[in-house]
Amino acid sequence: MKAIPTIDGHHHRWRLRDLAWLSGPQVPRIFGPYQPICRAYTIDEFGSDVAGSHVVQSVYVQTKLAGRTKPG
Amino acid sequence: MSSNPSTSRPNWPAGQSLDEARWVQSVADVTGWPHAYVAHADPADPDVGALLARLAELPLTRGIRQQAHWHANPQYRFAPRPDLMNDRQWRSGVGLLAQHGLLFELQIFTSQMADGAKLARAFPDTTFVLEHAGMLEDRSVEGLQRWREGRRELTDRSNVNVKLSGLGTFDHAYRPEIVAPIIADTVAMFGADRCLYGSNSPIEKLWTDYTSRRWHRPIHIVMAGLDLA
Repeated sequence: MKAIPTIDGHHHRWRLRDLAWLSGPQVPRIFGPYQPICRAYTIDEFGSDVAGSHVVQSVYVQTKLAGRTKPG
Repeated sequence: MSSNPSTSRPNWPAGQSLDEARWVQSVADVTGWPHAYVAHADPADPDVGALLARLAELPLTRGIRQQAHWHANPQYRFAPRPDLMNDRQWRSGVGLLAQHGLLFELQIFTSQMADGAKLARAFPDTTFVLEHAGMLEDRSVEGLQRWREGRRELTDRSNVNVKLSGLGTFDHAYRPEIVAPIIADTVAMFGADRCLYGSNSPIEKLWTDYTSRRWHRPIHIVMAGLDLA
């Protein structure tokens, strides 16, 4: 199928210190076990993720709230 | 009804929303990514007007998200109450979005869609974006029917668009046989012009990735009109 230039309309990125739940105990979440994402997720890693995917632009959706305990 | 829904959970000072926005803007200024930003604001905050004005000054800002989803299952619950969208003070904050040209990301479950449709009707000059295609967590026959009925009310409002994102949230996987019907149903109901794609990275990195193209495969299946069987 022909590749279509795509806008990723929903992603996050974060530093480990930005979200308390990344460093807190693992608890039941809406999306299940999440240890693999309890780390920094940089814009560079996002760039690597989308490489070859025809994503040409992106929209960051709010994430960072100090003291926040729930992800989403 | 409480006049201030935010008192039942830890309050988030407006300054943190602005800090996050400035950080996102600063990274975009250097790297070129991302190209747009949906910021946090609590519409019920008495000072939300000043925050919206500051956020709107940043070139990247396009809209606001405050997660309003409430579910009988506490694990799925984010908002402190199911009817946040009916709160008078919260609504007055939403009413300020249009003057700044900001949209609102509507993250709600099926049981809240009727209220979501009323909200969209009350603010016809504001664009709403239904997140994660309306978060289908109950795929039973009855659950699917309720989800479709709720979304029907939303699709009747021309100022509601829908985001094809987070479709593996309740499956903890990205299986075409689950995802493709959601995409097909959404495109059929809303029309392609009202649909947008979102990867929900890095949350969905837990079970899929871009390079395998598994995110795109269901979309391609739908677009090609192929039979999954």
